[in-house]
Amino acid sequence: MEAAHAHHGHDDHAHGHPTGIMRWVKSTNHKDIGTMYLWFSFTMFLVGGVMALIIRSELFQPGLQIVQPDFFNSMTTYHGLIMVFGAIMPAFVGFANWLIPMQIGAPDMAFPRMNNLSFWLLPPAALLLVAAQFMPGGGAGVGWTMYAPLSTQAGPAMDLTIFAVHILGISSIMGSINIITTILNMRAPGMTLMKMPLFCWTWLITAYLLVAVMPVLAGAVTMTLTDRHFGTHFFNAAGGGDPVLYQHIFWFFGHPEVYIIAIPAFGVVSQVIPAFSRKPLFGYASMVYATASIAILSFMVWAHHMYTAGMPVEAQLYFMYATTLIAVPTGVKVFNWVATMWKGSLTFETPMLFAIGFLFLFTLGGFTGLVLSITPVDVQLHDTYYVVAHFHYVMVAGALFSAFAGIYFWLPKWTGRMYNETLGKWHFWLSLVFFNVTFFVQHFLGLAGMPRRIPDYAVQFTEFNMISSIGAWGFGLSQLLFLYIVIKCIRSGEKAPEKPWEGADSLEWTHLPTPAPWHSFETPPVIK
Amino acid sequence: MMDRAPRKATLFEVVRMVLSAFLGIRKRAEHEKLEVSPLQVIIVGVMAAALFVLTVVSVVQLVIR
Repeated sequence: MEAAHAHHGHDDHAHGHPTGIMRWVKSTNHKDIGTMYLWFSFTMFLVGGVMALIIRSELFQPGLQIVQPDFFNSMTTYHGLIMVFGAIMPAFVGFANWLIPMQIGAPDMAFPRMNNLSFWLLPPAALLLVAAQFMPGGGAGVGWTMYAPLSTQAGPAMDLTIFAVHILGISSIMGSINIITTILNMRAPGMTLMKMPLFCWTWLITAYLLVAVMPVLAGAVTMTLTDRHFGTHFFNAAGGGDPVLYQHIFWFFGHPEVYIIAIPAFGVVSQVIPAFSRKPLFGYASMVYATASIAILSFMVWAHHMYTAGMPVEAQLYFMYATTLIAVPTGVKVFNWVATMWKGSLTFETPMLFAIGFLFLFTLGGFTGLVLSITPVDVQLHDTYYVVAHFHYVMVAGALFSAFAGIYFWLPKWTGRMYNETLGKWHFWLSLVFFNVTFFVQHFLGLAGMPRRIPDYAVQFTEFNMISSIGAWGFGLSQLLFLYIVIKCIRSGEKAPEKPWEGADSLEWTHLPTPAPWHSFETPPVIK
Repeated sequence: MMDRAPRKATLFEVVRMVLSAFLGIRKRAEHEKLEVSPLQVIIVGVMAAALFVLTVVSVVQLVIR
Protein backbone atom coordinates (compact mmCIF):
# COMPACT_ATOMS: atom_id res chain seq x y z
CA MET A 1 0.00 0.00 0.00
CA GLU A 2 1.33 3.39 -0.95
CA ALA A 3 0.40 6.59 0.80
CA ALA A 4 -0.80 9.12 -1.73
CA HIS A 5 -1.39 11.97 0.66
CA ALA A 6 0.75 13.02 3.56
CA HIS A 7 -0.74 11.90 6.84
CA HIS A 8 -2.28 15.11 8.13
CA GLY A 9 -3.02 14.29 11.70
CA HIS A 10 -6.70 13.33 11.13
CA ASP A 11 -7.85 16.38 13.13
CA ASP A 12 -7.67 14.15 16.13
CA HIS A 13 -8.43 16.03 19.34
CA ALA A 14 -7.31 13.02 21.35
CA HIS A 15 -10.89 11.87 21.64
CA GLY A 16 -11.11 8.24 22.57
CA HIS A 17 -14.30 6.91 21.06
CA PRO A 18 -17.17 6.42 23.50
CA THR A 19 -17.63 2.99 24.98
CA GLY A 20 -20.65 1.04 26.17
CA ILE A 21 -24.05 2.01 24.90
CA MET A 22 -22.97 5.52 23.87
CA ARG A 23 -20.53 3.97 21.37
CA TRP A 24 -23.61 2.85 19.43
CA VAL A 25 -25.96 5.77 20.10
CA LYS A 26 -23.46 8.41 19.03
CA SER A 27 -21.57 6.35 16.48
CA THR A 28 -20.35 8.00 13.30
CA ASN A 29 -18.21 5.03 12.35
CA HIS A 30 -19.38 3.30 9.19
CA LYS A 31 -18.56 -0.12 10.60
CA ASP A 32 -20.49 0.36 13.84
CA ILE A 33 -23.43 1.78 11.94
CA GLY A 34 -23.25 -1.10 9.46
CA THR A 35 -23.30 -3.54 12.36
CA MET A 36 -26.34 -1.82 13.87
CA TYR A 37 -28.15 -1.95 10.52
CA LEU A 38 -27.46 -5.67 10.26
CA TRP A 39 -28.60 -6.51 13.80
CA PHE A 40 -31.65 -4.30 13.40
CA SER A 41 -32.56 -6.05 10.18
CA PHE A 42 -32.10 -9.48 11.76
CA THR A 43 -34.35 -8.49 14.66
CA MET A 44 -37.00 -7.30 12.24
CA PHE A 45 -36.51 -10.50 10.23
CA LEU A 46 -37.47 -12.45 13.36
CA VAL A 47 -40.46 -10.18 14.09
CA GLY A 48 -41.69 -10.46 10.50
CA GLY A 49 -40.93 -14.17 10.62
CA VAL A 50 -43.13 -14.70 13.67
CA MET A 51 -45.93 -12.93 11.77
CA ALA A 52 -45.35 -15.28 8.83
CA LEU A 53 -45.61 -18.27 11.17
CA ILE A 54 -48.90 -16.97 12.58
CA ILE A 55 -50.18 -16.76 8.98
CA ARG A 56 -48.94 -20.23 8.09
CA SER A 57 -50.23 -21.79 11.33
CA GLU A 58 -53.72 -20.45 10.65
CA LEU A 59 -53.51 -21.81 7.10
CA PHE A 60 -52.42 -25.28 8.26
CA GLN A 61 -56.05 -26.37 8.11
CA PRO A 62 -59.17 -24.95 6.46
CA GLY A 63 -61.54 -23.08 8.77
CA LEU A 64 -60.54 -20.64 11.50
CA GLN A 65 -58.49 -22.15 14.33
CA ILE A 66 -56.00 -19.73 15.78
CA VAL A 67 -56.66 -16.10 14.85
CA GLN A 68 -59.54 -13.88 13.85
CA PRO A 69 -59.73 -12.68 10.22
CA ASP A 70 -58.96 -9.05 11.14
CA PHE A 71 -55.82 -10.08 12.95
CA PHE A 72 -54.87 -12.36 10.06
CA ASN A 73 -55.16 -9.43 7.65
CA SER A 74 -53.06 -7.32 9.96
CA MET A 75 -50.40 -10.05 10.01
CA THR A 76 -50.19 -10.24 6.20
CA THR A 77 -49.90 -6.45 6.09
CA TYR A 78 -47.17 -6.00 8.67
CA HIS A 79 -45.31 -9.15 7.66
CA GLY A 80 -44.88 -7.55 4.24
CA LEU A 81 -44.06 -4.06 5.46
CA ILE A 82 -41.61 -5.25 8.11
CA MET A 83 -39.82 -7.70 5.84
CA VAL A 84 -39.46 -5.21 2.97
CA PHE A 85 -38.70 -2.01 4.86
CA GLY A 86 -37.40 -3.38 8.16
CA ALA A 87 -35.45 -6.50 7.22
CA ILE A 88 -34.25 -6.66 3.62
CA MET A 89 -33.59 -2.99 2.85
CA PRO A 90 -31.67 -2.27 6.10
CA ALA A 91 -29.69 -5.48 5.65
CA PHE A 92 -28.28 -4.26 2.35
CA VAL A 93 -27.72 -0.75 3.72
CA GLY A 94 -25.73 -2.50 6.45
CA PHE A 95 -23.61 -4.18 3.79
CA ALA A 96 -23.21 -0.82 2.02
CA ASN A 97 -22.01 0.87 5.20
CA TRP A 98 -19.52 -1.82 6.02
CA LEU A 99 -18.17 -2.41 2.55
CA ILE A 100 -18.37 0.65 0.31
CA PRO A 101 -15.71 2.71 2.15
CA MET A 102 -13.41 -0.31 2.34
CA GLN A 103 -13.95 -1.30 -1.28
CA ILE A 104 -13.27 2.15 -2.75
CA GLY A 105 -10.39 2.97 -0.38
CA ALA A 106 -12.16 5.68 1.68
CA PRO A 107 -11.80 6.29 5.42
CA ASP A 108 -15.53 6.40 6.15
CA MET A 109 -18.87 7.43 4.61
CA ALA A 110 -19.11 10.99 3.28
CA PHE A 111 -21.61 12.19 5.92
CA PRO A 112 -20.97 10.22 9.12
CA ARG A 113 -23.46 12.12 11.30
CA MET A 114 -26.22 11.82 8.74
CA ASN A 115 -25.33 8.16 8.63
CA ASN A 116 -26.01 7.94 12.37
CA LEU A 117 -29.37 9.67 11.93
CA SER A 118 -30.34 7.42 8.98
CA PHE A 119 -29.91 4.44 11.25
CA TRP A 120 -31.54 5.85 14.35
CA LEU A 121 -34.70 6.74 12.42
CA LEU A 122 -35.29 3.04 11.89
CA PRO A 123 -36.06 1.87 15.46
CA PRO A 124 -38.85 4.45 15.98
CA ALA A 125 -40.38 3.45 12.64
CA ALA A 126 -40.23 -0.21 13.65
CA LEU A 127 -41.83 0.62 16.99
CA LEU A 128 -44.66 2.41 15.18
CA LEU A 129 -45.27 -0.64 13.00
CA VAL A 130 -45.35 -2.92 16.02
CA ALA A 131 -47.40 -0.46 18.12
CA ALA A 132 -49.99 -0.34 15.33
CA GLN A 133 -51.05 -3.83 16.43
CA PHE A 134 -52.21 -2.43 19.77
CA MET A 135 -54.27 0.49 18.47
CA PRO A 136 -58.06 0.47 18.89
CA GLY A 137 -59.40 -1.90 16.25
CA GLY A 138 -56.01 -3.64 15.92
CA GLY A 139 -53.48 -3.36 13.10
CA ALA A 140 -54.54 -2.04 9.71
CA GLY A 141 -55.43 -5.06 7.57
CA VAL A 142 -54.88 -3.25 4.30
CA GLY A 143 -52.04 -5.26 2.78
CA TRP A 144 -48.49 -3.97 2.48
CA THR A 145 -49.61 -2.08 -0.63
CA MET A 146 -52.01 0.03 1.48
CA TYR A 147 -54.58 0.30 -1.32
CA ALA A 148 -57.38 2.83 -1.11
CA PRO A 149 -60.24 2.66 -0.18
CA LEU A 150 -59.24 0.17 2.54
CA SER A 151 -56.47 2.46 3.74
CA THR A 152 -58.66 5.56 3.79
CA GLN A 153 -61.23 3.73 5.92
CA ALA A 154 -58.93 1.80 8.28
CA GLY A 155 -58.61 2.57 11.99
CA PRO A 156 -55.97 4.68 13.77
CA ALA A 157 -53.33 1.98 13.22
CA MET A 158 -53.18 3.24 9.63
CA ASP A 159 -51.89 6.62 10.79
CA LEU A 160 -49.03 4.97 12.65
CA THR A 161 -48.28 2.93 9.56
CA ILE A 162 -48.25 6.00 7.33
CA PHE A 163 -45.94 7.81 9.72
CA ALA A 164 -43.64 4.79 9.88
CA VAL A 165 -43.45 4.72 6.07
CA HIS A 166 -42.58 8.43 6.05
CA ILE A 167 -39.75 7.92 8.53
CA LEU A 168 -38.41 4.86 6.72
CA GLY A 169 -38.46 6.82 3.48
CA ILE A 170 -36.50 9.71 5.01
CA SER A 171 -33.96 7.25 6.36
CA SER A 172 -33.59 5.58 2.96
CA ILE A 173 -33.14 8.89 1.14
CA MET A 174 -30.47 10.06 3.58
CA GLY A 175 -28.71 6.73 3.31
CA SER A 176 -28.77 7.00 -0.48
CA ILE A 177 -27.40 10.54 -0.53
CA ASN A 178 -24.59 9.32 1.67
CA ILE A 179 -23.82 6.36 -0.56
CA ILE A 180 -23.91 8.39 -3.79
CA THR A 181 -21.64 11.08 -2.36
CA THR A 182 -19.23 8.55 -0.91
CA ILE A 183 -18.88 6.66 -4.17
CA LEU A 184 -18.63 9.70 -6.40
CA ASN A 185 -16.28 11.78 -4.23
CA MET A 186 -14.27 9.55 -1.94
CA ARG A 187 -12.69 6.92 -4.16
CA ALA A 188 -8.97 6.38 -3.68
CA PRO A 189 -6.65 7.78 -6.38
CA GLY A 190 -6.75 5.47 -9.39
CA MET A 191 -10.02 3.83 -8.34
CA THR A 192 -11.99 4.76 -11.45
CA LEU A 193 -15.70 3.97 -11.53
CA MET A 194 -15.10 1.03 -13.84
CA LYS A 195 -12.55 -0.44 -11.45
CA MET A 196 -14.95 -0.49 -8.50
CA PRO A 197 -16.17 -3.87 -7.29
CA LEU A 198 -19.58 -4.60 -8.74
CA PHE A 199 -21.14 -4.35 -5.28
CA CYS A 200 -20.35 -0.61 -5.23
CA TRP A 201 -21.82 -0.18 -8.69
CA THR A 202 -25.04 -1.93 -7.75
CA TRP A 203 -25.39 0.28 -4.68
CA LEU A 204 -24.68 3.46 -6.66
CA ILE A 205 -27.50 2.57 -9.04
CA THR A 206 -29.82 1.46 -6.23
CA ALA A 207 -29.22 4.71 -4.35
CA TYR A 208 -30.37 6.70 -7.38
CA LEU A 209 -33.46 4.51 -7.62
CA LEU A 210 -34.21 5.15 -3.94
CA VAL A 211 -33.85 8.91 -4.29
CA ALA A 212 -36.18 8.78 -7.28
CA VAL A 213 -39.00 6.66 -5.87
CA MET A 214 -39.15 7.10 -2.09
CA PRO A 215 -40.71 10.57 -2.50
CA VAL A 216 -43.36 8.99 -4.74
CA LEU A 217 -44.30 6.57 -1.96
CA ALA A 218 -44.24 9.41 0.55
CA GLY A 219 -46.61 11.34 -1.74
CA ALA A 220 -48.97 8.38 -2.02
CA VAL A 221 -49.21 7.83 1.74
CA THR A 222 -49.46 11.58 2.39
CA MET A 223 -52.44 11.78 0.06
CA THR A 224 -53.92 8.82 1.94
CA LEU A 225 -53.35 10.73 5.17
CA THR A 226 -55.04 13.90 3.91
CA ASP A 227 -57.92 11.82 2.54
CA ARG A 228 -58.31 10.31 5.99
CA HIS A 229 -58.14 13.48 8.04
CA PHE A 230 -58.21 16.67 6.03
CA GLY A 231 -61.18 16.25 3.73
CA THR A 232 -59.37 15.69 0.44
CA HIS A 233 -60.66 13.14 -2.08
CA PHE A 234 -57.58 12.02 -4.00
CA PHE A 235 -58.64 8.40 -3.84
CA ASN A 236 -62.34 8.78 -3.09
CA ALA A 237 -64.56 8.32 -6.15
CA ALA A 238 -67.51 9.93 -4.36
CA GLY A 239 -65.51 13.15 -4.10
CA GLY A 240 -64.21 13.04 -7.68
CA GLY A 241 -61.04 11.08 -6.84
CA ASP A 242 -59.90 7.72 -8.11
CA PRO A 243 -58.80 4.70 -6.06
CA VAL A 244 -56.97 3.31 -9.10
CA LEU A 245 -54.81 6.46 -9.05
CA TYR A 246 -53.40 5.20 -5.75
CA GLN A 247 -52.43 1.93 -7.37
CA HIS A 248 -50.62 3.72 -10.21
CA ILE A 249 -48.68 5.94 -7.80
CA PHE A 250 -47.92 3.08 -5.44
CA TRP A 251 -46.58 0.80 -8.16
CA PHE A 252 -44.60 3.58 -9.77
CA PHE A 253 -42.71 3.33 -6.50
CA GLY A 254 -43.33 -0.38 -6.03
CA HIS A 255 -41.77 -1.76 -9.15
CA PRO A 256 -38.45 0.08 -8.82
CA GLU A 257 -38.61 -1.04 -5.16
CA VAL A 258 -38.37 -4.63 -6.36
CA TYR A 259 -35.08 -3.69 -8.01
CA ILE A 260 -33.98 -1.66 -5.00
CA ILE A 261 -34.09 -4.95 -3.14
CA ALA A 262 -32.74 -7.14 -5.93
CA ILE A 263 -29.88 -5.03 -7.30
CA PRO A 264 -27.70 -4.93 -4.13
CA ALA A 265 -28.36 -8.67 -3.89
CA PHE A 266 -26.94 -8.98 -7.42
CA GLY A 267 -23.95 -7.00 -6.16
CA VAL A 268 -23.25 -9.37 -3.27
CA VAL A 269 -23.56 -12.42 -5.49
CA SER A 270 -21.23 -10.78 -8.03
CA GLN A 271 -18.55 -10.60 -5.30
CA VAL A 272 -19.09 -14.11 -3.95
CA ILE A 273 -19.30 -16.16 -7.17
CA PRO A 274 -15.96 -14.93 -8.66
CA ALA A 275 -14.20 -15.43 -5.29
CA PHE A 276 -15.18 -19.10 -5.09
CA SER A 277 -14.71 -19.69 -8.82
CA ARG A 278 -11.20 -18.17 -8.59
CA LYS A 279 -11.89 -16.23 -11.79
CA PRO A 280 -12.72 -12.59 -12.38
CA LEU A 281 -16.40 -11.82 -12.91
CA PHE A 282 -17.34 -12.65 -16.49
CA GLY A 283 -18.50 -9.57 -18.39
CA TYR A 284 -17.90 -6.96 -15.67
CA ALA A 285 -18.71 -4.06 -18.02
CA SER A 286 -21.81 -5.85 -19.26
CA MET A 287 -22.93 -6.33 -15.68
CA VAL A 288 -22.58 -2.62 -14.94
CA TYR A 289 -24.49 -1.65 -18.06
CA ALA A 290 -27.15 -4.30 -17.57
CA THR A 291 -27.72 -3.11 -14.01
CA ALA A 292 -28.11 0.50 -15.13
CA SER A 293 -30.42 -0.65 -17.87
CA ILE A 294 -32.60 -2.68 -15.50
CA ALA A 295 -32.83 0.40 -13.27
CA ILE A 296 -34.09 2.62 -16.11
CA LEU A 297 -36.49 0.01 -17.47
CA SER A 298 -37.86 -0.62 -13.98
CA PHE A 299 -39.67 2.73 -14.20
CA MET A 300 -41.61 1.71 -17.29
CA VAL A 301 -43.37 -1.46 -16.29
CA TRP A 302 -45.27 -0.62 -13.09
CA ALA A 303 -48.82 -1.34 -14.22
CA HIS A 304 -48.14 -5.06 -14.70
CA HIS A 305 -49.00 -5.27 -10.99
CA MET A 306 -52.53 -4.10 -11.69
CA TYR A 307 -53.73 -5.68 -14.94
CA THR A 308 -57.03 -6.51 -13.27
CA ALA A 309 -57.61 -2.99 -11.90
CA GLY A 310 -59.00 -1.84 -15.21
CA MET A 311 -57.03 -0.16 -17.97
CA PRO A 312 -57.30 0.17 -21.74
CA VAL A 313 -56.17 -2.80 -23.79
CA GLU A 314 -53.42 -0.61 -25.30
CA ALA A 315 -51.98 -0.05 -21.84
CA GLN A 316 -52.20 -3.74 -21.01
CA LEU A 317 -50.32 -4.63 -24.17
CA TYR A 318 -47.72 -1.92 -23.58
CA PHE A 319 -46.99 -3.08 -20.05
CA MET A 320 -46.94 -6.71 -21.12
CA TYR A 321 -44.38 -6.09 -23.88
CA ALA A 322 -42.22 -3.80 -21.77
CA THR A 323 -42.20 -6.25 -18.86
CA THR A 324 -41.25 -9.15 -21.07
CA LEU A 325 -38.35 -7.12 -22.49
CA ILE A 326 -36.91 -6.29 -19.04
CA ALA A 327 -36.14 -9.99 -18.71
CA VAL A 328 -33.38 -9.57 -21.30
CA PRO A 329 -30.80 -7.62 -19.23
CA THR A 330 -31.67 -9.76 -16.19
CA GLY A 331 -31.05 -12.87 -18.27
CA VAL A 332 -27.68 -11.42 -19.32
CA LYS A 333 -26.72 -11.21 -15.65
CA VAL A 334 -27.68 -14.81 -14.96
CA PHE A 335 -25.63 -15.96 -17.95
CA ASN A 336 -22.67 -13.88 -16.74
CA TRP A 337 -22.75 -15.56 -13.32
CA VAL A 338 -22.91 -18.98 -14.93
CA ALA A 339 -20.07 -18.05 -17.29
CA THR A 340 -18.03 -16.88 -14.29
CA MET A 341 -18.31 -20.36 -12.80
CA TRP A 342 -17.61 -22.04 -16.14
CA LYS A 343 -14.22 -23.80 -15.98
CA GLY A 344 -13.41 -22.10 -12.69
CA SER A 345 -11.82 -24.00 -9.81
CA LEU A 346 -14.98 -24.06 -7.77
CA THR A 347 -15.19 -24.77 -4.06
CA PHE A 348 -18.44 -24.85 -2.18
CA GLU A 349 -18.08 -23.09 1.14
CA THR A 350 -21.27 -21.73 2.69
CA PRO A 351 -21.21 -18.30 0.94
CA MET A 352 -20.87 -20.02 -2.45
CA LEU A 353 -23.66 -22.46 -1.61
CA PHE A 354 -26.01 -19.59 -0.82
CA ALA A 355 -24.90 -17.77 -3.98
CA ILE A 356 -25.64 -20.82 -6.13
CA GLY A 357 -28.93 -21.32 -4.28
CA PHE A 358 -29.69 -17.70 -5.14
CA LEU A 359 -28.82 -18.29 -8.79
CA PHE A 360 -31.14 -21.30 -9.15
CA LEU A 361 -34.08 -20.00 -7.18
CA PHE A 362 -33.92 -16.37 -8.27
CA THR A 363 -33.97 -17.56 -11.87
CA LEU A 364 -37.05 -19.62 -11.07
CA GLY A 365 -38.67 -16.59 -9.41
CA GLY A 366 -37.79 -14.47 -12.41
CA PHE A 367 -39.29 -17.06 -14.70
CA THR A 368 -42.63 -17.15 -12.85
CA GLY A 369 -42.47 -13.36 -13.09
CA LEU A 370 -42.38 -13.71 -16.86
CA VAL A 371 -45.40 -16.01 -16.67
CA LEU A 372 -47.24 -13.35 -14.67
CA SER A 373 -46.22 -10.60 -17.08
CA ILE A 374 -48.49 -12.13 -19.74
CA THR A 375 -51.75 -10.25 -19.24
CA PRO A 376 -54.27 -13.03 -19.96
CA VAL A 377 -52.37 -15.40 -17.66
CA ASP A 378 -52.15 -12.77 -14.96
CA VAL A 379 -55.88 -12.16 -15.09
CA GLN A 380 -56.25 -15.80 -14.01
CA LEU A 381 -53.48 -15.75 -11.45
CA HIS A 382 -53.84 -12.26 -9.98
CA ASP A 383 -54.19 -12.32 -6.17
CA THR A 384 -53.64 -16.09 -5.99
CA TYR A 385 -50.90 -18.01 -4.22
CA TYR A 386 -49.02 -18.20 -7.52
CA VAL A 387 -48.12 -14.55 -7.01
CA VAL A 388 -47.16 -15.23 -3.38
CA ALA A 389 -44.88 -18.06 -4.54
CA HIS A 390 -43.38 -15.87 -7.27
CA PHE A 391 -42.37 -12.95 -5.11
CA HIS A 392 -41.10 -15.12 -2.27
CA TYR A 393 -38.73 -16.80 -4.74
CA VAL A 394 -37.49 -13.34 -5.65
CA MET A 395 -37.42 -11.85 -2.15
CA VAL A 396 -36.39 -14.82 0.02
CA ALA A 397 -34.39 -17.04 -2.31
CA GLY A 398 -33.18 -13.93 -4.12
CA ALA A 399 -32.49 -11.17 -1.66
CA LEU A 400 -32.33 -13.12 1.62
CA PHE A 401 -30.12 -15.93 0.31
CA SER A 402 -27.78 -13.35 -1.17
CA ALA A 403 -27.67 -11.55 2.19
CA PHE A 404 -26.77 -14.85 3.88
CA ALA A 405 -24.06 -15.43 1.25
CA GLY A 406 -22.69 -11.96 2.00
CA ILE A 407 -22.78 -12.40 5.76
CA TYR A 408 -20.88 -15.71 5.67
CA PHE A 409 -18.47 -14.23 3.12
CA TRP A 410 -17.59 -11.08 5.10
CA LEU A 411 -18.07 -12.36 8.66
CA PRO A 412 -14.33 -13.21 8.94
CA LYS A 413 -13.46 -9.69 7.76
CA TRP A 414 -15.94 -8.11 10.17
CA THR A 415 -15.20 -10.15 13.29
CA GLY A 416 -11.72 -11.56 12.71
CA ARG A 417 -13.16 -15.00 13.41
CA MET A 418 -14.40 -17.87 11.26
CA TYR A 419 -17.89 -19.26 11.45
CA ASN A 420 -18.36 -23.01 11.79
CA GLU A 421 -18.35 -24.33 8.22
CA THR A 422 -20.28 -27.52 9.03
CA LEU A 423 -23.05 -25.61 10.76
CA GLY A 424 -23.06 -23.05 7.94
CA LYS A 425 -23.65 -25.84 5.44
CA TRP A 426 -26.43 -27.23 7.64
CA HIS A 427 -28.00 -23.77 7.66
CA PHE A 428 -27.85 -23.63 3.87
CA TRP A 429 -29.32 -27.06 3.21
CA LEU A 430 -32.07 -26.66 5.82
CA SER A 431 -32.97 -23.24 4.41
CA LEU A 432 -32.92 -24.50 0.83
CA VAL A 433 -35.08 -27.55 1.49
CA PHE A 434 -37.59 -25.86 3.78
CA PHE A 435 -37.82 -22.81 1.53
CA ASN A 436 -38.89 -25.00 -1.37
CA VAL A 437 -41.22 -27.08 0.80
CA THR A 438 -42.89 -23.83 1.84
CA PHE A 439 -43.14 -22.01 -1.43
CA PHE A 440 -42.93 -24.46 -4.32
CA VAL A 441 -46.31 -25.98 -3.46
CA GLN A 442 -47.82 -22.50 -3.40
CA HIS A 443 -47.45 -22.44 -7.21
CA PHE A 444 -49.88 -25.36 -7.37
CA LEU A 445 -52.26 -23.70 -4.91
CA GLY A 446 -52.27 -20.55 -7.01
CA LEU A 447 -52.81 -22.40 -10.28
CA ALA A 448 -55.72 -24.19 -8.62
CA GLY A 449 -57.19 -20.83 -7.67
CA MET A 450 -56.48 -20.33 -3.96
CA PRO A 451 -56.73 -16.59 -3.23
CA ARG A 452 -54.06 -14.85 -1.15
CA ARG A 453 -54.65 -12.80 2.04
CA ILE A 454 -57.64 -14.94 3.14
CA PRO A 455 -57.49 -16.83 6.48
CA ASP A 456 -59.75 -19.66 5.33
CA TYR A 457 -59.84 -21.81 2.19
CA ALA A 458 -61.75 -24.55 0.42
CA VAL A 459 -60.98 -28.11 1.59
CA GLN A 460 -59.37 -29.23 -1.68
CA PHE A 461 -56.39 -26.97 -0.90
CA THR A 462 -55.67 -28.64 2.45
CA GLU A 463 -52.74 -30.96 1.61
CA PHE A 464 -50.58 -28.36 -0.10
CA ASN A 465 -51.29 -25.86 2.67
CA MET A 466 -50.23 -28.37 5.31
CA ILE A 467 -47.00 -29.04 3.44
CA SER A 468 -46.37 -25.31 3.06
CA SER A 469 -46.99 -24.63 6.78
CA ILE A 470 -44.64 -27.41 7.85
CA GLY A 471 -42.00 -25.96 5.52
CA ALA A 472 -42.52 -22.49 6.96
CA TRP A 473 -41.93 -23.68 10.53
CA GLY A 474 -38.85 -25.58 9.39
CA PHE A 475 -37.54 -22.52 7.56
CA GLY A 476 -38.22 -20.26 10.55
CA LEU A 477 -36.52 -22.55 13.05
CA SER A 478 -33.52 -22.98 10.71
CA GLN A 479 -32.88 -19.27 11.04
CA LEU A 480 -32.31 -19.71 14.78
CA LEU A 481 -29.41 -21.94 13.75
CA PHE A 482 -28.10 -18.98 11.75
CA LEU A 483 -28.34 -16.76 14.84
CA TYR A 484 -26.44 -19.40 16.83
CA ILE A 485 -23.74 -19.66 14.14
CA VAL A 486 -23.20 -15.90 14.07
CA ILE A 487 -23.08 -15.51 17.87
CA LYS A 488 -20.76 -18.51 18.18
CA CYS A 489 -18.50 -17.01 15.52
CA ILE A 490 -18.34 -13.65 17.26
CA ARG A 491 -17.74 -15.09 20.74
CA SER A 492 -15.58 -18.14 20.20
CA GLY A 493 -14.94 -18.70 16.50
CA GLU A 494 -11.48 -19.76 15.37
CA LYS A 495 -9.21 -16.86 14.51
CA ALA A 496 -9.67 -16.04 10.83
CA PRO A 497 -6.63 -16.05 8.53
CA GLU A 498 -5.74 -12.71 6.92
CA LYS A 499 -7.42 -13.76 3.68
CA PRO A 500 -9.68 -16.76 4.23
CA TRP A 501 -10.95 -16.79 0.61
CA GLU A 502 -8.08 -17.09 -1.84
CA GLY A 503 -10.14 -15.84 -4.78
CA ALA A 504 -11.35 -12.63 -3.11
CA ASP A 505 -9.73 -9.63 -4.77
CA SER A 506 -11.44 -6.42 -3.64
CA LEU A 507 -9.61 -3.86 -1.48
CA GLU A 508 -11.05 -4.96 1.86
CA TRP A 509 -9.34 -8.33 1.38
CA THR A 510 -6.15 -7.23 -0.36
CA HIS A 511 -5.30 -3.97 1.44
CA LEU A 512 -6.74 -4.26 4.96
CA PRO A 513 -5.92 -6.56 7.87
CA THR A 514 -8.46 -9.03 9.28
CA PRO A 515 -10.44 -8.04 11.29
CA ALA A 516 -10.86 -4.69 9.57
CA PRO A 517 -9.41 -1.86 11.69
CA TRP A 518 -11.61 0.80 13.33
CA HIS A 519 -10.69 3.34 10.62
CA SER A 520 -10.29 1.81 7.19
CA PHE A 521 -8.02 3.97 5.05
CA GLU A 522 -6.64 6.99 6.89
CA THR A 523 -4.30 7.38 3.95
CA PRO A 524 -5.85 6.29 0.68
CA PRO A 525 -4.28 3.38 -1.18
CA VAL A 526 -3.13 3.98 -4.74
CA ILE A 527 -4.88 1.74 -7.23
CA LYS A 528 -2.89 0.83 -10.29
CA MET B 1 -3.86 -2.94 -17.98
CA MET B 2 -3.34 -0.62 -20.92
CA ASP B 3 -2.72 3.06 -20.34
CA ARG B 4 -3.36 4.54 -23.76
CA ALA B 5 -5.18 7.85 -23.38
CA PRO B 6 -8.84 7.24 -24.27
CA ARG B 7 -10.24 9.49 -27.00
CA LYS B 8 -13.56 11.33 -26.78
CA ALA B 9 -16.54 9.34 -27.99
CA THR B 10 -18.60 10.52 -30.95
CA LEU B 11 -22.39 10.87 -30.69
CA PHE B 12 -22.84 7.65 -32.66
CA GLU B 13 -20.58 5.81 -30.23
CA VAL B 14 -22.51 7.09 -27.22
CA VAL B 15 -25.77 5.97 -28.81
CA ARG B 16 -24.26 2.57 -29.51
CA MET B 17 -23.07 2.37 -25.94
CA VAL B 18 -26.51 3.17 -24.51
CA LEU B 19 -28.21 0.69 -26.82
CA SER B 20 -25.78 -2.06 -25.86
CA ALA B 21 -26.52 -1.16 -22.24
CA PHE B 22 -30.22 -1.73 -22.85
CA LEU B 23 -29.37 -5.20 -24.03
CA GLY B 24 -26.87 -5.55 -21.21
CA ILE B 25 -23.97 -6.62 -23.41
CA ARG B 26 -20.73 -4.71 -23.80
CA LYS B 27 -17.06 -5.47 -24.18
CA ARG B 28 -14.72 -4.13 -21.54
CA ALA B 29 -12.09 -3.25 -24.18
CA GLU B 30 -14.64 -1.12 -25.97
CA HIS B 31 -15.29 0.78 -22.79
CA GLU B 32 -11.67 1.43 -22.01
CA LYS B 33 -10.71 3.07 -25.29
CA LEU B 34 -13.45 5.71 -25.14
CA GLU B 35 -13.99 8.69 -22.88
CA VAL B 36 -17.61 9.64 -22.26
CA SER B 37 -18.99 12.14 -19.79
CA PRO B 38 -21.84 11.06 -17.50
CA LEU B 39 -23.94 13.95 -18.87
CA GLN B 40 -23.70 12.53 -22.42
CA VAL B 41 -24.77 9.11 -21.23
CA ILE B 42 -27.67 10.45 -19.17
CA ILE B 43 -29.02 12.62 -22.00
CA VAL B 44 -28.71 9.88 -24.61
CA GLY B 45 -29.99 7.32 -22.09
CA VAL B 46 -33.16 9.26 -21.32
CA MET B 47 -33.75 9.86 -25.04
CA ALA B 48 -33.24 6.19 -25.79
CA ALA B 49 -35.62 5.28 -22.96
CA ALA B 50 -38.26 7.60 -24.43
CA LEU B 51 -37.64 6.04 -27.83
CA PHE B 52 -38.05 2.59 -26.27
CA VAL B 53 -41.45 3.57 -24.85
CA LEU B 54 -42.53 5.08 -28.18
CA THR B 55 -41.44 1.96 -30.05
CA VAL B 56 -43.40 -0.33 -27.76
CA VAL B 57 -46.42 1.98 -27.98
CA SER B 58 -46.29 1.94 -31.80
CA VAL B 59 -46.02 -1.83 -31.82
CA VAL B 60 -49.11 -1.89 -29.60
CA GLN B 61 -50.92 0.45 -32.02
CA LEU B 62 -50.00 -1.87 -34.86
CA VAL B 63 -51.29 -4.91 -32.98
CA ILE B 64 -54.68 -3.55 -31.97
CA ARG B 65 -55.46 -2.03 -35.36
